Amino acid sequence: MNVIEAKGLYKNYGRVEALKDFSLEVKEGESYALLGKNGAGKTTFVKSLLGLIGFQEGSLKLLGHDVSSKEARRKVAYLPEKFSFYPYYTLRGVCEFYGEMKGLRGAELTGQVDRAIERWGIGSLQHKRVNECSKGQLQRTGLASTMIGENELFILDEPYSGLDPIGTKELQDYFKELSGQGKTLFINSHGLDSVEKVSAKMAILDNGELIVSGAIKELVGEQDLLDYFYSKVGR
Amino acid sequence: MNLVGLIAKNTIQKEWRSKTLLFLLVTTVLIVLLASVGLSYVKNNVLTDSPLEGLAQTTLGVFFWGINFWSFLVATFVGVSTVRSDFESGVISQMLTFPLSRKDYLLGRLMGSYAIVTGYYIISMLICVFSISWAVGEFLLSPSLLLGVFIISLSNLVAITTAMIIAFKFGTIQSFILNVLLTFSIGFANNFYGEKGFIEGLKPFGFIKAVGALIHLFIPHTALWDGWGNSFILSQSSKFKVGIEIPHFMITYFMILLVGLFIFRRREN
Repeated sequence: MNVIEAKGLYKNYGRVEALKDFSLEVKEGESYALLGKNGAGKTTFVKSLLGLIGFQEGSLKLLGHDVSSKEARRKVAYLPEKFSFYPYYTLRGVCEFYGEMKGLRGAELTGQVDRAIERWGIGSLQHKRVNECSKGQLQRTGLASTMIGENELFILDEPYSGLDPIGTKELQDYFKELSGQGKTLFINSHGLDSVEKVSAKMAILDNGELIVSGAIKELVGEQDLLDYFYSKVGR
Repeated sequence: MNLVGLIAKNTIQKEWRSKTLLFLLVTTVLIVLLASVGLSYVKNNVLTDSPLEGLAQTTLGVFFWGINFWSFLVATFVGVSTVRSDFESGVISQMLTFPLSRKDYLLGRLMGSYAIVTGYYIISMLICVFSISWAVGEFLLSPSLLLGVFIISLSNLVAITTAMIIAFKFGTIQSFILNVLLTFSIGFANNFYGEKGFIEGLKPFGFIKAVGALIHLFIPHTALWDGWGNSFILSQSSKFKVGIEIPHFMITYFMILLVGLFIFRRREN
């Protein structure tokens, strides 16, 4: 089953073409990385995936539903590059709000929130307010929120951005754990080292066009991923 | 609670912490209390030999006018900030990735904003009624007063909605000013065409009259509704045409909601 199915997407901002005839299929259980230089169109595609922006041509489905329908987002977890929330919410309150928006109530909600908070080591901070937390603590809260609900697809926007080596390792372990559970991961990232460790497939975008996609090992072969990437999009 | 209810609850939690709203409420309470003390002093020390007939109603009328205007400003303030602040903080991208349609999000924000503005309005009114009742020694709270408050709160709902829609396109201060100007324009148009009649009012035809006619046709008659509400509060008679105004309000408000939703759906995050 295709968890993400983009066909002939075309998106422009005035005269700037952000996506040109972009097609991509991500199957259930795959861990897929989207790579590209700054301004290649990655963020535009991620925003399209989340229904935050529209497109002029093409079709886009998530878990079999048109991306504009709320059904499409029922089993999707999204982690933005910089997780933020209303300043007066406690970290536990943020997780509970996410759970409620995913339809969880009562003991099920409490159980899932407890597990997520425990998993990301924010138990002692759970009653701290968002405006009192560091960037790292907020990012952990964002990660905890992705564990809440029956999510099948995880869309992660620059998840390694600003993380120290310990944080990067914890994140890689979490992604491997999710892959082990058969979840689908779609990662928009600049961190090539981390991509190689977590993702089996990748797509490279350049100037809004998909220039290569497939299994990383088959595409890269004996080459270093950075060298391969540079050979495709470098000057 | 469904998702619309959750967004409404989130809106109330968000807005009631607003320092501006809190400042407005405290200012209202202080003004009402000070004026009541003044009124009580006048009654007990100045007008000891004069009849008090009509003093309570006149004072209430002046105070209610002030509170109505103040609550309209609160409605505009809340309407402008409620969705706009989500865009400014970037939280909108997280909110819209929940299994929630944009229509549900907007309805939730509207319901929450209406609840907070009406709460502010009712609290201000009750403080006003109780303090003036104390000052003049006559209990002024009545069911018709509460009905009047409810009717006027519908005008506030329109103000919240138009402010929210204007804020999709303009900055905070511009939106605030534009919504105040729009509401004043509605007031002028409603009073002019309400008094003269629609066809008669258009003669002789002119550009400003045409703009006023469009406003009068396509936007709820909030000035007339305010007048109707005030007639209940002040126990006065009213020429409000219920059979025409209620359907007009429902149709035009629904149209405004559709326009708002259309603009919001097209807005990219």
